[in-house]
Amino acid sequence: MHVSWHRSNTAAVAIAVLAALICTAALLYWHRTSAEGARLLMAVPEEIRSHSDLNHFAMSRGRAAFAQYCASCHGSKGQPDPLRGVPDLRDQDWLYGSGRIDEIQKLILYGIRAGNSKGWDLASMPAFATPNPYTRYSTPALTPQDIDDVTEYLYSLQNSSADLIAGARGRKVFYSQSRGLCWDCHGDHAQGDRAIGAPNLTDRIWLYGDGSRRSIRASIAGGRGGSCPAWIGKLSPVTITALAVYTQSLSRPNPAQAQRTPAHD
Amino acid sequence: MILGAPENVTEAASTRPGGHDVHSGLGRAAEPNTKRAMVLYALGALIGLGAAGYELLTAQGTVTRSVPAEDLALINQQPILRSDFVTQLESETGLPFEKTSRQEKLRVLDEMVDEELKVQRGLELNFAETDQDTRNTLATVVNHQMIAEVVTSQPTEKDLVGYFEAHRAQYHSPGAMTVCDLALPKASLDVAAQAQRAASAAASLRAGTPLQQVQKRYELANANSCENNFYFAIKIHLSDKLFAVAQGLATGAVSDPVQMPDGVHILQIVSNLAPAPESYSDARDRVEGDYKDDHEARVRAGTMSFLRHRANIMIAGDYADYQIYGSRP
Repeated sequence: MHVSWHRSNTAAVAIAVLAALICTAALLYWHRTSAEGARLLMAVPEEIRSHSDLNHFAMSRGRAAFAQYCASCHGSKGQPDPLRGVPDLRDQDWLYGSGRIDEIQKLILYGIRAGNSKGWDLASMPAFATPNPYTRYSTPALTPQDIDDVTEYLYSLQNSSADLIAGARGRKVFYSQSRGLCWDCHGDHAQGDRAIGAPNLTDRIWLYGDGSRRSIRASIAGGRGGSCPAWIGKLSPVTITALAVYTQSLSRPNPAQAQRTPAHD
Repeated sequence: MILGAPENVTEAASTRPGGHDVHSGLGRAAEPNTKRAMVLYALGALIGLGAAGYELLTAQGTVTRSVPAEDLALINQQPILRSDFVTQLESETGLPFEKTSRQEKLRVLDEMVDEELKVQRGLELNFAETDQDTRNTLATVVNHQMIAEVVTSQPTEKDLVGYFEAHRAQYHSPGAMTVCDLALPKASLDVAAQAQRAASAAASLRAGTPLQQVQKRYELANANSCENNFYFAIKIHLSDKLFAVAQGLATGAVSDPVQMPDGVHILQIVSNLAPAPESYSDARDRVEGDYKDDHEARVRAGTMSFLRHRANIMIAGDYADYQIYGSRP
């Protein structure tokens, strides 16, 4: 009896000590993580990756968060999905902004066409083969011939096999002040506008489709307007910042990735 | 806390060789002091209740004593996010954050503090009730918020294919035609002569006489120059009645004369590409858009129904026939 009481007493003390050790370790870990998180949040965003400890913390957390929250659309490594208009995060072609961490952070926070007024929602691609192509302002529909001609014009920007006569007609529509108004978003030289997310139409990178006449025509006729959720309130500020750092890290200056072989009909 | 030793230990200790009481240095073997324990428990409970009561009755809401790391400032506990600050600073200066001066940073912070104070003042003044612009903006924002999850959702291919199959009839190519609309103005001839001339013109066109020749010979006006367009556009330009006639004609056909308020019209169909059923791959983008639109409509309806049922809505007697929870009149 004396021995069993002594044993149970010792066991209780041992459990209490172990529990205290675990709690202490957890507290220390939490404190350290919180401190690192605070440093991450207060750092100048563009300088995070130059600090190895901050970068390591952000990359580790960002990688895990990307796999959990982003990969379902963006793939495990940020690869594109031309069927759904998911961009390639591995290249250096940015639809919005220039790939700075604070810009990516803002995008993750407030989304794209996600119903948040602080998010990106300045423009979308009109559907020119419909009676009311654009909800943001009144613009006339294009005729089938106009759509074919603009398609040919855009195709000609990257393919020498294009019909130049049709392309010339299409160019007029593209730069018209009363029809299409394509230049208004895509810029004076069709090179896009990162301030509103209008893609560059002169490079070989296609958000939707493969640059074939068919896919270009589908975009002009049917319109486009992809979206990205707003994560504010759903993810912690530290996670969002870490995600921004990780997402930027996916982007590599690889000319081979930035080039696509031209599509052939 | 002194662990009370069971009786047998006390006995064992007291019966050790020499009769030495091993507990003598600690006094008598500890027994639970029930009264002391209860007093301590009660004291602890009182202290806890007292602290909670003090905080509850004197609290100004949850108060943060320091600015969280993700915020640049707290204005009456409302945060100004660092991220928003960076965006505004870069937007105002046109410079990357790290290249802006301290003065610029402080200036923008000052503006944002002012803005937050004004917003809070607006809430105090209840502008959401009294100012129409604020009300419009709030309603719009809430509208967007209701459907935000749907807008950014990614339905599975299975969902989309299922939707397509259930609504297959509405997915077809838009239909397009090239149509020449010729007209005999109303006042030019009497009705009988008009009809005769129009019939002759139609016959000439059917016989293959070029359009310009027929126009000249029969003094027809080209009411709408030959137009190549989608069905929806042709319908707007021609009118519903003329479009209905044109839609039924094959490529190369010429209509019979059609009496319209402004005269007699003849339609020559240069090409008519009727809408054709589309495959899922051709219609996929529209299927996704329609799927989400349907979902949005359900979410909106559900949210408004929830808000109505949750609200205390009272209607004046002279509008007692208004159905708070019914469908729109």
